[in-house]
Amino acid sequence: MEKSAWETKVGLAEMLKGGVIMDVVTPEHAKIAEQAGAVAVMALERVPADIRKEGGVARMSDPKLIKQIMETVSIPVMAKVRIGHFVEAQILQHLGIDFIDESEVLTPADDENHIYKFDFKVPFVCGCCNLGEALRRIGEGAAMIRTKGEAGTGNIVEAVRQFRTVTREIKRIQALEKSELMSAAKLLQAPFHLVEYVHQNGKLPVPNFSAGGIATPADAALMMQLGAETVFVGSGIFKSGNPQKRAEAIVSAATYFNDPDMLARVSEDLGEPMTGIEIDKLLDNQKLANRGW
Amino acid sequence: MSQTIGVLSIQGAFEKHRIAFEKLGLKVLYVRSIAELEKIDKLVIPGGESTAMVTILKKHDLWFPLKKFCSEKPVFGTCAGAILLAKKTHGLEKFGVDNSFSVMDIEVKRNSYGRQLDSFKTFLDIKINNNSKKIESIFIRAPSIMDVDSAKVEILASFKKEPVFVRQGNKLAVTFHPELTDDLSIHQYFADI
Repeated sequence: MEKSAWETKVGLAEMLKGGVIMDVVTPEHAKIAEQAGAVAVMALERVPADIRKEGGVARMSDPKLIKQIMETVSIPVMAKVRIGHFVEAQILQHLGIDFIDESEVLTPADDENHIYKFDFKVPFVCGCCNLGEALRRIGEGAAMIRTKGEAGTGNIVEAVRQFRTVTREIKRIQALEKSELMSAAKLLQAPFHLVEYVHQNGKLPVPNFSAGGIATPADAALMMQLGAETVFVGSGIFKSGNPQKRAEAIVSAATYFNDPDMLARVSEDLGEPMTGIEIDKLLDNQKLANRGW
Repeated sequence: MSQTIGVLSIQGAFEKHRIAFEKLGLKVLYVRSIAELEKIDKLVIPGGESTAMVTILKKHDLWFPLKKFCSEKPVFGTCAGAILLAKKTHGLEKFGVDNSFSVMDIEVKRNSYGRQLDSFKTFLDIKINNNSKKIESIFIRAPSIMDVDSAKVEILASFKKEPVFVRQGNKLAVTFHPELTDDLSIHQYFADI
């Protein structure tokens, strides 16, 4: 018997497909998320919209809060660590968290390196803006990849652009001759064996999810139709007028993403969505998606 | 007669099951509606989060049609799917008494081995058509089958003396994930039912 094998790490990500992973900042939020049909919750102290507003250094959440949330719900609980902060990851693993998000939403702890994730028993998810970044993270041991989007903006445009970029780059790699793969790996700055995998299989070797800017059921369905296998919803639920109803609606949208009749029904009368931010109103140093190397 | 295998695709590992049955040359349909349920001969309920599946099925009025299908037709439940087939469950109490399809005389406990850090892979002897075979098996936040009605339920594999693969009539329940490995024996076994 082998615990924490690569297969069990990627396997948990497989089990989350077609679902919604929700950011929660209290045990009460976690309960609402679970009741709405979330497949997992992301436990954190501040949702990205508040991190953006309040500024300062954003770090791993208080272990007490994470433990309370783990005790409150029976679905998997994820939590975030700063990019490169392997000690925060050691702490979360010690708490028995189910998945760690090495996240650009928090302030990076290392401006050159990410965590060597194969050293850990707990699976990791990492963000990406393009295929090269996705394969670098998988090369370090990430068991799940997500788009970064532009967290805390309620604006889906970055997630769409990044997801389309990854998909387009995968198709391009697929179409290459074998003799062209090394050069492609050089340009992507990605491990050669993973470029080979993409060439042969036409997809990433781990599940490919979407995050960053999803605020409505239509946003969730948009990402699913573009090929995302699951969606993370951060500020979009608990910064809206009626979190419970919106949470349930986004869950339905992730399952019935191809059914306009269902999407129309669940989108009805949801109250106020979170206030959005236009991406071009952000300065470059306010763009969280630029974090990650 | 060619059969159509339906894979319940509310949430979870439905894609891996589709790929497994397609490798066997079978026609597979994702099932998310009553109309799709009416087009299939057999149903697979995949792994995933049982709470999410029950919530969505109840909300969209699929619960009773599925329950009826499961009581009549061949059904194969893996992990969360195995919980949904059980007559007695532990861990879904918040949904009240009617929290599973209750079509197999087994008692199943959710997340029985612990959290993700206790997920594991191992090799198991499975007994199919009187042949024994060793296969790789992956358990993810897996449930366990605590008890079976031995007069009605056949045990096809066990782990640490607890059943992990059982059959009752035209129903199969497996607490691990045969869809995550390359061995197709269990999928073939279900196709032959």
